[in-house]
Amino acid sequence: MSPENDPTPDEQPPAADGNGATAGDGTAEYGADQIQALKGLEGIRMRPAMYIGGTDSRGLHHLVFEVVDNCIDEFVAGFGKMIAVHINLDGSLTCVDDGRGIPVDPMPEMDNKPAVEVVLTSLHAGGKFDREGGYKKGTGGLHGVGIKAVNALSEWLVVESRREAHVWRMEFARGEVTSNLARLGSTQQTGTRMTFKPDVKIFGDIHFSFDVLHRRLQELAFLNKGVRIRLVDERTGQKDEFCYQGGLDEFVVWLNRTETPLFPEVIRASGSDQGISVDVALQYNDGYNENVRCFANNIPNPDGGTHLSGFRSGLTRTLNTYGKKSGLFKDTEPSGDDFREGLTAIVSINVPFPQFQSQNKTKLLNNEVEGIVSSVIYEVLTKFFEEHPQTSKRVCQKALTAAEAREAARKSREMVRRKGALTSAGLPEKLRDCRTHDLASSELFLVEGDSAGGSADTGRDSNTQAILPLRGKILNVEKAQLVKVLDNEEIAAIFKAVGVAPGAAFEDAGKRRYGKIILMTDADVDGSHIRTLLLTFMFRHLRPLIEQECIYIAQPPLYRVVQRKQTRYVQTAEEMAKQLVELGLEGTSLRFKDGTVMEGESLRIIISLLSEIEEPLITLERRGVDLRLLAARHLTAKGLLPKYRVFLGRTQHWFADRADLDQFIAAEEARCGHELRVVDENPSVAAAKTDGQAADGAAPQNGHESMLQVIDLHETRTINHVLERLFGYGIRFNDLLSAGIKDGVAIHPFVVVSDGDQYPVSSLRDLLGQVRKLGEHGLKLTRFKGLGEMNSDELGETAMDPKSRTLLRVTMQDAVAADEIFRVLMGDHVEPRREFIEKHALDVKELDV
Amino acid sequence: MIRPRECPICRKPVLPATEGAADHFPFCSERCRQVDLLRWSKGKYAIVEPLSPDQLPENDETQDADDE
Repeated sequence: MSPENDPTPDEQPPAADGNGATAGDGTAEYGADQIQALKGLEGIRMRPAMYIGGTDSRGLHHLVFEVVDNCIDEFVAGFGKMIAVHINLDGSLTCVDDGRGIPVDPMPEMDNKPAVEVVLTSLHAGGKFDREGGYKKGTGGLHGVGIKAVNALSEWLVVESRREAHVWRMEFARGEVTSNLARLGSTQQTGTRMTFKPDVKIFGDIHFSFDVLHRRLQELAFLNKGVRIRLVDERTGQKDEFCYQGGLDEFVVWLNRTETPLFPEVIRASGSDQGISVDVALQYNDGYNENVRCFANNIPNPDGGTHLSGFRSGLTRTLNTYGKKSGLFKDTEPSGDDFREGLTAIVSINVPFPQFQSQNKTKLLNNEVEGIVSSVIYEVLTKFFEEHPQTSKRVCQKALTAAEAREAARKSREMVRRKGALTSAGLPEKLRDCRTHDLASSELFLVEGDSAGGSADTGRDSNTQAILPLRGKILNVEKAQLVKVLDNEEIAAIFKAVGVAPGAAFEDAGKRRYGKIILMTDADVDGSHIRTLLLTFMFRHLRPLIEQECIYIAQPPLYRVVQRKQTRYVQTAEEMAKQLVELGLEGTSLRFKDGTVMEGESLRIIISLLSEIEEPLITLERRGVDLRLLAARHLTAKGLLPKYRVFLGRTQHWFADRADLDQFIAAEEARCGHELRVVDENPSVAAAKTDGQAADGAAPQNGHESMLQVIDLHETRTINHVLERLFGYGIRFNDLLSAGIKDGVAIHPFVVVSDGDQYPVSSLRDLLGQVRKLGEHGLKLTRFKGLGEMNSDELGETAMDPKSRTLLRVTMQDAVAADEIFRVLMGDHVEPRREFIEKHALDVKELDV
Repeated sequence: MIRPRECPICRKPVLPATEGAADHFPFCSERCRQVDLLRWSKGKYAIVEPLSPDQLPENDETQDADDE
């Protein structure tokens, strides 16, 4: 653009031309006189932002960092061990190191000015341009600018250099020499001391912040292990000192100090190529933030740059390769972001010739760095992860979780975007809605299975009752397991039908479409599992409904009983069994071989004792105990069962109590002269072993030594307890066992007499069944395999009609309990589940209730 | 009697619910709640019952010999 075309009034001296400014009148001459060449450090004072990034607090502290960086360069080059920074009372700042001291000898090519003056006043003068001198590793100092900027922007600056046995001193004001180099005296030390006071005309506020300096100085101490840095604030007396022998490891641990690391160790990766050295330390914590700090030649690069991108690509490549190879990423492939959740890392590189985006060095630009960092990371980390599979697995799983969370958040956002899509836009296809939506009377039945849904549809009161059939899937998969699933369609249908969105607030429960939400599942184990799934789901995502207690459980019956043309329904197997026994006992007596007769209350007690003993007896038999053998040879003097079964070599022994067992072991030890060797731990051996078999564990020294195995028969505790009570009725253990066959005819020592009929029984264990059978006389009993087997009238009457049904109201405690059972029975976490069942082996049945 | 719990997703401890409060209970965070909902909708949750030999189908007789 030519000056003639651009005669803006601003550019003209106000009184230059009385005729006013018109285009092409030639008054806005653009000549050599208008070109300014700023002398000395004038340019810095005019445009400070170009040199220190600004004149705000950040720029102010940058002055300190320029000075300290020079001290660090000295340490890195192998000179000096400590740096001290003092904020002085007058607002000036002193920085001292014990490096070599700035050279002071005259420089012939610079009018014989002393080197220290040149360093502080001549732009682009310095000792760090080539890498042949002391600074082979690369330095933060680069352009020969930083320290001049400090000098130029300081109201005053005093520098003292200790070298060659003397202390030299020089003073400046706003970049100009005010006091020439002078020898102050002699010294044994070396180093540089610089004190400066920032110019208040440049920086509005010249207050140094202890915290800002603290943060950066500590960072430098981490990055340069072994350097000792002290910070003292004379204004407040606050002080701190840093020295870290652990270097980057300690830095990472410090950054993670408030987090929970995923694994204890800090992973290190270092290497070098083409004179560029790379040093990385990293660790994951259980949080979600990425905290990666990048440094080039000790200078922090908050905007990252090529070393950061190299680190990221190297890390992603390593973990992706590892995860795929080890089969962890079969379903999902995490993205780069996913590998950085909870990542804390330091990336520190040294580059001989760094290129930064600006004088304040916030971003590294060297292109060659990216590839070098990436390949160092890939090589070293690949090796590390292969050698530490536990750690690698945790990192990969963390990334998978992150990927899942990302998908979940995306889905959730989509749902919000299509707001109402779930709750107002249309009702689920399968819903059979009711006419009223008055919360006082309307009800929604969530029914297990389509066919039951059909019965419920016919049996309902369509005015107030709505039906949503759910197809809880029951599958047989590998290892013959049953699986019950709710899928996306079902989940969406529940939200839509209920009219409350996932994660809704407490008040939103009031906007539900029905007063009561009633779960109706089969009265069997599968039904109870589906109920557990539904309750867990509602507890987690529709909690307000549970808090407002509007969830109920229907109680469909398990049996239909027809007696003398009267139909009634029974809800549980336990209740049915109890009723059958009661019915069977009416007018029934038991006659023993010796003529004794039991009836009424005595018989009832005997029956209940017998039913108590049945299960432990079955368990004993399953464990390979021959009850007949016990009855014949191993009952205790009182006629009770032994508590211990012992194998010693090829022989089997039974003991009534601990004292007998101990006595036996002591005797055996005395006999063979040493401690008995116990069979190696292997639970399945104990269960599978049959009488007389020797343990086939590791062969002992002589091959003939007898191995000891003691099996605790816990079941006998209950059995003996019951037996003692049965003794009171003259019943012995033998009476529980089938009397066998004599001369081809089964022996029946007992006779059940009922209404004149006689039913011979071969053992008391068969008595229970016989009495129940009597109870069934004259009854027509139907057990419903599922809701679908009931006709619609039956279902309506027994489970749905408010006049005749029973409902259970679900409380928060019920829902919490469902959630706990669910966690235990859930397929995802097989390990804790097995533990739980082992721990509660005896209660497992209760879980299914 | 609501005991201290773990977040079902990340297993961090979660404070007990306060009725009516807009918290994330029983999750530790919105993030975990979303993950859980995703798992439900993908059908990832199932109750798994191992079938021991004598519990296989057609073997209900142990419970209901009184069937017929």
